[in-house]
Amino acid sequence: MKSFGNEGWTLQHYADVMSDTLLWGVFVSTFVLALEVTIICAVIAYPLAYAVLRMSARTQKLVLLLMLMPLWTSVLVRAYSWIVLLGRQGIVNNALLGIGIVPEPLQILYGRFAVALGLVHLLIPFVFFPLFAVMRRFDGRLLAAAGSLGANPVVAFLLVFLPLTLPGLFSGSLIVFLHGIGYFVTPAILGGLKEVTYVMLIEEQVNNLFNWEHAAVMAVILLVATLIIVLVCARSLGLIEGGKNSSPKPARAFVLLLRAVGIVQARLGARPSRMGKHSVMHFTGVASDLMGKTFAVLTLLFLLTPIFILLPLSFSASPFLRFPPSDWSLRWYETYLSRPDWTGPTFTSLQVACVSALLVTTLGLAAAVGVTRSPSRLAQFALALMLSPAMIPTLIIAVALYFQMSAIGLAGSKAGLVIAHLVIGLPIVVLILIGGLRNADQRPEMAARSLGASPTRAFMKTTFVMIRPSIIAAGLFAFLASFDDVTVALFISGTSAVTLPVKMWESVRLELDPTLAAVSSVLVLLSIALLSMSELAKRLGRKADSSQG
Amino acid sequence: MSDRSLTRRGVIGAFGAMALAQPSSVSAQSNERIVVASYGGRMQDSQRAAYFEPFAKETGIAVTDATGITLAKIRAMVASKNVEWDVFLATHEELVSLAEAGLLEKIDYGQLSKATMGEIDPRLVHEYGVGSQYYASVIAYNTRKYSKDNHPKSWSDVWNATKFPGPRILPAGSYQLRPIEPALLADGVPAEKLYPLDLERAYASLSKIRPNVIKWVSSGNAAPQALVDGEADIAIANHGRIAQLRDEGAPVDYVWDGAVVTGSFWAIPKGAKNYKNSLKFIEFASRADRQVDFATRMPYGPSNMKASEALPAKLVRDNPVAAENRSKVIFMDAHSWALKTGGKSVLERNIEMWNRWIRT
Repeated sequence: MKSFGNEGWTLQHYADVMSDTLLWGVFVSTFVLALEVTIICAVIAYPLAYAVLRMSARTQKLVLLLMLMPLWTSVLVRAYSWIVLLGRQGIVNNALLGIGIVPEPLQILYGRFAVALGLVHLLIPFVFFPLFAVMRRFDGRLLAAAGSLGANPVVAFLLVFLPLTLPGLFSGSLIVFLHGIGYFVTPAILGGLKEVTYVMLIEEQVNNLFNWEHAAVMAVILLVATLIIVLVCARSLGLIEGGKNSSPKPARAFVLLLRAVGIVQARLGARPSRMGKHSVMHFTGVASDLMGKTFAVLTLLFLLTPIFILLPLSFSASPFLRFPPSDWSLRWYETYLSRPDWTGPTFTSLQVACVSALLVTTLGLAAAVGVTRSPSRLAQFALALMLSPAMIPTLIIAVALYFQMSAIGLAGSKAGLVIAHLVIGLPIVVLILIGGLRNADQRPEMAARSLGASPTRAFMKTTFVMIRPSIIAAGLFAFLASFDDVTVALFISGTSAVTLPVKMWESVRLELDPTLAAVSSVLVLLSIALLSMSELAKRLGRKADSSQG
Repeated sequence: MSDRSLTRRGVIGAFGAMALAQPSSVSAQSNERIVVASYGGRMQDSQRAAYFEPFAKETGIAVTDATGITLAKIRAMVASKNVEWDVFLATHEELVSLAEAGLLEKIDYGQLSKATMGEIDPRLVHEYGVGSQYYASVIAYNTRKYSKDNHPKSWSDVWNATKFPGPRILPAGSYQLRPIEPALLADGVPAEKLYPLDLERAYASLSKIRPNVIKWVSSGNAAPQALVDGEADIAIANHGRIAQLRDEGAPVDYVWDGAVVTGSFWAIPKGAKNYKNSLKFIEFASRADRQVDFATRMPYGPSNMKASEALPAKLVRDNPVAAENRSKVIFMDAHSWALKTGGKSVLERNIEMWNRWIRT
């Protein structure tokens, strides 16, 4: 690695970086910010996923569709939405001034609050979807059993539902944490002077100062620190096997504690379980059901408002972005859809994202199965290796990949880009799938094998079906990881494989191009259309099945 | 099950069809081709019309355009011996530090037309690059807040929040357009004594305006957009973008007083594959007629002095080096920024000081 110097080996760069107190300050505050964002996301996503789980199948689909919409809008564009919403002349401030609550505009933007808000908005889906996939697999009969054994609803929830869904929460939270450390566009746009992150400083070393040695050292420090945190978390939270102990201590202690609480509660309260047969799944009653729905609606509102702001902007006639638009036109849609330098990159992005998502999900599934089932330390090491791309700033990965790709002549090709996106997608996929596999019952698969099925067939017919929601979530995020990537694509894509994010990035270097609002709107519509089509196809398929049967 | 996998195949098939429909970006007319990298957006659209397409037409050498210029990418290309670009745009400071790092080819002026090169402003003729255009960091303001008669006209006005109240947007010290020269001028340093830069004094001056600055930006689009949105009333911004917005009816304007002018350069990365044709392109893009054409599309100043003189009257006011503006502006001294003391350039020391200053 470059961190040991260009000519010969030296620790000088390590000494320089290690002795810089300023860097350590930023280092700590970066982790604190990521931790804050992770906790907020987890605290919102868990009740949300639970509330959505209890909705009817149709509402569930609608909510999932709405949750997906923000993911199609680029980080840059979303940051601008926040300015429109929260700025001094923004919608929120105008409303507050209008009602007369505040005498002058509140300074909401350009500070820690705005950065946290922007990051939470970006990252909630990253914990929600893995978590929801795990919850959906949850067997309602377990709660019924707990109820029939006398557990009250809260105890049943704490002792049965929570422990079984925790792996989903933890794997999602880890993804959020890793992203929280790595994102630097949002802090740069929405933050004030103090919201500098470690990754921003690394980027500065690479791009402004030409000091790649320092950048490499900083990246290594970041990698090691993150790796330690992640492995400690993963082990203690039971995401991976912890050596000889199959059930890790802290997790076991947690469960024991819950049990104790349950017993005490049962003794003290001695209230007979009011849960009838019907209320088992809805074991927290009507009032909290309403609360859950309200919570879901509020969260969706939070997630979707910045996206809906873009819709009027995309129909503006003004040659520059201005909210609210004074005249209306379709000119930005015309620009987007009629210019090959916009449509070409869109197709390139879709192609690359589809292929890399397919490949990385397959690879990641194999890896996740290996890691969750192998008790050896080697598996942990392998996991650390697979996750490490998420802990190194993307810019460093981009430079490193560029050297590799150049050596084998893949730089500037779609194939090169697909391979590069495998590297970025793998950590998310592996984490989501580990969360999904962790509590999947292996017995059906063993049964299948003992009945003579081949390992692959046994897996595909049992475990695969069980964890399908997690696989779909993993594939989706792999697709988006590729479809959203600017940093790596700027290096690898060259002139023949320009992707949409690269095109968008270059079009905002000097001016905020309103075409971006149109692009976002088209992508959101496209995603809705694709999902509705697949839904329709499914329904038609089911009809055909039942008519044949 | 079989139905579902059919649908899946259908979706993949559809993407395949889209892939086939994608237009090829390489023109097949000629075997000769160069790759020119620029900044994207309207800048690149204008360059395509004024330079790339006419060049291909006249010489038969096709131009593929690329974007994504960063110092990291250039260094990676040269170091990996996979130089994708033939010509790219660099700022003056980038040119100096790239040349110092040995990442550029020297410009062989012997192969370029003496007449055309003689028309280029000597400030923008460099051993490793030829100036393409002038641009400037200017005092820009929101015209709904400040009228034509009453608006900040000097850096000390920008620093004077009692006389000119309202939030400011300034560039971050780590961004390409640094607030250092403005901070020194606002503090009373005379223009002719600006260089060598007194960074300590500059940061002391920045501390004075700091409470009135709502955002220190590190991208080109943010300051102009903030003026349009009314987020800020006064800003340091790229003059070309403000001029464009003003012409399109946005409530913004700028002044030339105290503007910090600098140039962009065409440069050739070390080991570029088409050196000769790259030089041909640079010569073509240096011609007065081409530069006038470019200036009509993008309000930047020509590097070619003849082009500068030949600009239509309505373009003169946005030309940093027009006779009427030239006396009001300051030319940024890129070499002074690159000057090393104690092993560190002013540029590097500035970023260190900036990173410390923001945490005070």
